[in-house]
Amino acid sequence: MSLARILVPPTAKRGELVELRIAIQHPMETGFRMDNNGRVIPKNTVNTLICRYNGAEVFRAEMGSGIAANPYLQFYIVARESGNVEFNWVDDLGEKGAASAPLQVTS
Amino acid sequence: MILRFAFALPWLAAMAAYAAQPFRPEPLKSGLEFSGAEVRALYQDDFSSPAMLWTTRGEKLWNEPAGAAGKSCASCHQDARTGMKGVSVKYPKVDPGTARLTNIEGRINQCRTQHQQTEPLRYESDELLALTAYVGLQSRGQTVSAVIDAQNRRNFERGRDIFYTRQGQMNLACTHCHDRNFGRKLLNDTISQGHGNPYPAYRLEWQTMGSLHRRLRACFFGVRAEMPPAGSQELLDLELFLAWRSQGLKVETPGVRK
Amino acid sequence: MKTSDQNRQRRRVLKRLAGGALLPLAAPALAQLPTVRPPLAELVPVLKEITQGAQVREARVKLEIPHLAENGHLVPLTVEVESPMTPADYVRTLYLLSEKNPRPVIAKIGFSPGTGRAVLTTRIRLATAQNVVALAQMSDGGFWAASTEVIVTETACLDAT
Repeated sequence: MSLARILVPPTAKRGELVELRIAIQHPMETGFRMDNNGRVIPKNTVNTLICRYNGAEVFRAEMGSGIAANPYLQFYIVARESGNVEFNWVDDLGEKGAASAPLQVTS
Repeated sequence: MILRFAFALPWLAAMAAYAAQPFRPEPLKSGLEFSGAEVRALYQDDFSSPAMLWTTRGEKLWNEPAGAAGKSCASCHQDARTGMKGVSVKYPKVDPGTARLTNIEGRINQCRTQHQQTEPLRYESDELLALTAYVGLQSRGQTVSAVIDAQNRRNFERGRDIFYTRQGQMNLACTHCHDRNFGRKLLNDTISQGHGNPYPAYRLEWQTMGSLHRRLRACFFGVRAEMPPAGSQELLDLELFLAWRSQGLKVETPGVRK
Repeated sequence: MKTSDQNRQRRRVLKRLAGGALLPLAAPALAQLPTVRPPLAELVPVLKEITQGAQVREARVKLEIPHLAENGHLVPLTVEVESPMTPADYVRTLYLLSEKNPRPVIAKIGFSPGTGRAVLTTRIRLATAQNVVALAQMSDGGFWAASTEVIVTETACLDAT
């Protein structure tokens, strides 16, 4: 499983906008590079990342070779009730990754 | 023939005198000061910095048992945040056991083979970069303070000579760019003073983390000279000279560079 | 000789034209030339496949990206789409499109009312100097877009490590 760092604030007020950040360690191989022996390194990028809040999908990114190596995404969700913020992703080789953090919502 | 040699003599003498008196650039500036806004923004926020993915991995590896001895780094050195604090500012240094000049990468591999009883990590592997960067992180903000003494004087002198010797098809020495022309432009790049204080660092050009030796190899390639292998004696000696030359700068590991 | 005199005279006239008359006329004319960007659908042909020929209005989308990128391997970018982000009216999809990358679709982002604000910050690769297009499709099906031209600089020192 690939390594990632996520930033989810531990607490937020109900209705507040919460900034989420995720960085995944991944080369995002374009498929256009060659190794030292002149062989093409096959394309392999994190192709889908889904963010779920309390089980429901709120954000999705479909990515390709145009996204920089070690992809980084920063976006918002609205704090509604306490629960889990969960990230799941998969690359072209089928390797999956996951990371999650709790978000406590105060009224 | 004799005439030609005679012409070269004063020049050689001047070069020798020049090499014998190494100097530090004035005022001493980290490469970050020559970097553009994008690179600085990436470095200044720890979450934004892609280099921190490697230190996160390094922290995991620090606590994972490895090898026949079943020991982790933490088994001997405890919490890196206290045990490794201020350690990297003194490197490279001569290892008392082997009497050889050793950098952090070498020290980690020595621990692996001697104490953990496992294979050394390949230079430039993600694992070695992760551990080196994690150890370096514990000295971030501290002053580079490698000491030149009787034990490492010969290494220092060899490193210094590499720094001042013209090399490759472009016939340039390190000093020509990094002492005499820092702050000036090569295409859209600003020439830095060539310090090692951010390494291992994430370079946009590499799209990954890399060691100081990789960066030095890139410079050798830049002047179209033969690249010494990573971990080689030449690069270790040069690393020591660079550490002396950047005495007073703050450790930036894990840095970000263009 | 007559011909030589005529030549000298002609050169004088040409010099005066070039130095005194032509240049001041030419400079403002060049400066006033509008920078013409082709329509978005010509810039990124893939846009037509996405919109199926629907109208694309260039408003409501703000694309922040450096005009001069230090390195094409990592170009930071922030897109914000103006939208109330309510279940009745929100940004459904945001496309990041490239004019000259080998693959024109950089990313396809799915927002929902749960995201609250349609903002995305990420880092992209740009193969060369080109236009970058952010195209948003709203929940009512309408398309809105913004584009920016980015110059990508090359590094001075080749690196084969």
